[in-house]
Amino acid sequence: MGAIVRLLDVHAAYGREAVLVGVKAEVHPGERVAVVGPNGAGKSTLLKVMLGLVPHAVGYVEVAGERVVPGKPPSRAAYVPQHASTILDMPVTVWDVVAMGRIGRPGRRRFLSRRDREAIAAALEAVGLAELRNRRFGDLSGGQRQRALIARALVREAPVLFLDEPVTGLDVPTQDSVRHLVDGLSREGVAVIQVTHELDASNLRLYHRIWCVNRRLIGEGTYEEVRRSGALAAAFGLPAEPGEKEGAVR
Amino acid sequence: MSGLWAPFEWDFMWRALAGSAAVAVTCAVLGVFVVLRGMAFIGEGLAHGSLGGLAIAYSLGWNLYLFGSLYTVGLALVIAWLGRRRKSGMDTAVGVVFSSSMALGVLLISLVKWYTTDLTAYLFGDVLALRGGDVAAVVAVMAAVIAFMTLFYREMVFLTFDPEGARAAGVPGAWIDRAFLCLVAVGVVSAMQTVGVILVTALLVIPAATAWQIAKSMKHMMAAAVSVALFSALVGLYVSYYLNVASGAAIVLTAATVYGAVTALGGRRIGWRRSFGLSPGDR
Repeated sequence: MGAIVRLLDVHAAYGREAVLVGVKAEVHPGERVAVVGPNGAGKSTLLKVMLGLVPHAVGYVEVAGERVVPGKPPSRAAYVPQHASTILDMPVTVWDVVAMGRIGRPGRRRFLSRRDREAIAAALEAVGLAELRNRRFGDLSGGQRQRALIARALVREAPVLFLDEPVTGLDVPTQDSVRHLVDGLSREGVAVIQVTHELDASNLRLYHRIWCVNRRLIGEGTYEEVRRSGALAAAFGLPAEPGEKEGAVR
Repeated sequence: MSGLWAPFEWDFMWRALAGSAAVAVTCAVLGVFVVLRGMAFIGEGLAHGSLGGLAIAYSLGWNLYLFGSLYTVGLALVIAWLGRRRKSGMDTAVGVVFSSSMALGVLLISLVKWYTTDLTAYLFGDVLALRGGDVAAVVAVMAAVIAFMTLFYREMVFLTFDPEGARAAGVPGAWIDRAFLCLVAVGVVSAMQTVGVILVTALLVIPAATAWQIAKSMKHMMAAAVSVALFSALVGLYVSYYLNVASGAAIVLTAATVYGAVTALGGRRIGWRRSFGLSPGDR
């Protein structure tokens, strides 16, 4: 099966400061990819380049068959931002927030259709927020808000899902429910690309591939492969453990 | 009952009512997004900055409100452009542009002889002097605002709630934000003859700030803001008629009284700077 996300020699910069250098990678349908790296390594920037939110100076980015150019995000992609990016005191209901996911889809109508409403109701059911649909978003707990944002991504019915640290700050049961949801999507063939700070082995083994980023893509493969290559240790400046190469960088 | 109808035995009162109602709806609908986005200073800046355009039009004998609208839309676009390009941000851009434009207006006023009544009407509003054409103009502006909000309501809510998420979903944020800013500019100028430049921001902010305290959803907030604005316009006109006071001030004080009552009766606690659109929301 062909790649659904392709990055070829992608460079990006903020002003004169290079943030991403020569990134080359692919993601296939149904794959779960964890993007890891230290603070300031360019993980979120890489996600935003794929979403067309940050311009890439050089290179080629393709998502779900569409070439991504700055200001023109891929129409068949969904995005779950860090929940800190939303206004909490705005009187939007959970239903309103989830309905936002239907905006910008290919061939959408200007007003919500019956099919849109059914998709929103199904997504609310899937994340366990059906009974809170009329509650103000800002009145929800952090975990419930994150689930609402995931429901907003679900209703896009997109083949590619981008998540930026979706479980940071959530309690353990909510983290588990978010992981369960994302697992289910991956099994249905959705490619999932997720920035994560959770570096414990049990978490990283859940992903098909790890992208170890520190401006460059310094390691790529399964958790075992990137660990053995020394890329994880190199990215975080840690001493190599037994069986790892010392600071090996691809 | 006869007292209720007494003011409307005069044609000018019907025009005043129609004009005030149209301006109230325009300002309330725009105001909802002005306060939620923390843009009140922009509204204030556009209102005061329009003095430059009105002074130019007056000096050259052009239509005050038509040229004033075009000029203020120009100011809005310059503010948007500067706000995006400069690290100092939107508030600095507003401060620079509106004070420069207002200074230009003051300069021209000092050079050209203004009739006191013109200046008073501009500063404090004179809704009783509305002519048929003026009413048609404010109704047209109201229709444009309602049409824009009907077509782009969902995008506006999305962009206000989560600008980055909206752009990632393909919402043309820059285009919609500029169009909204232009509508605020036109709305501000259209409201001047009713409440005057000094009070126009109050009409933009107070009904929305009142509605915010009781709203459970965006549609609820929109409906409540329009209701408060229409109520204030009607009651303000009566007060103005019977007490023989300035209509703009009466309308704004009525709206402020409603705001005070809602706050006292236990509306949702929102910091006053935030509720009046003077600061962005917590994220």
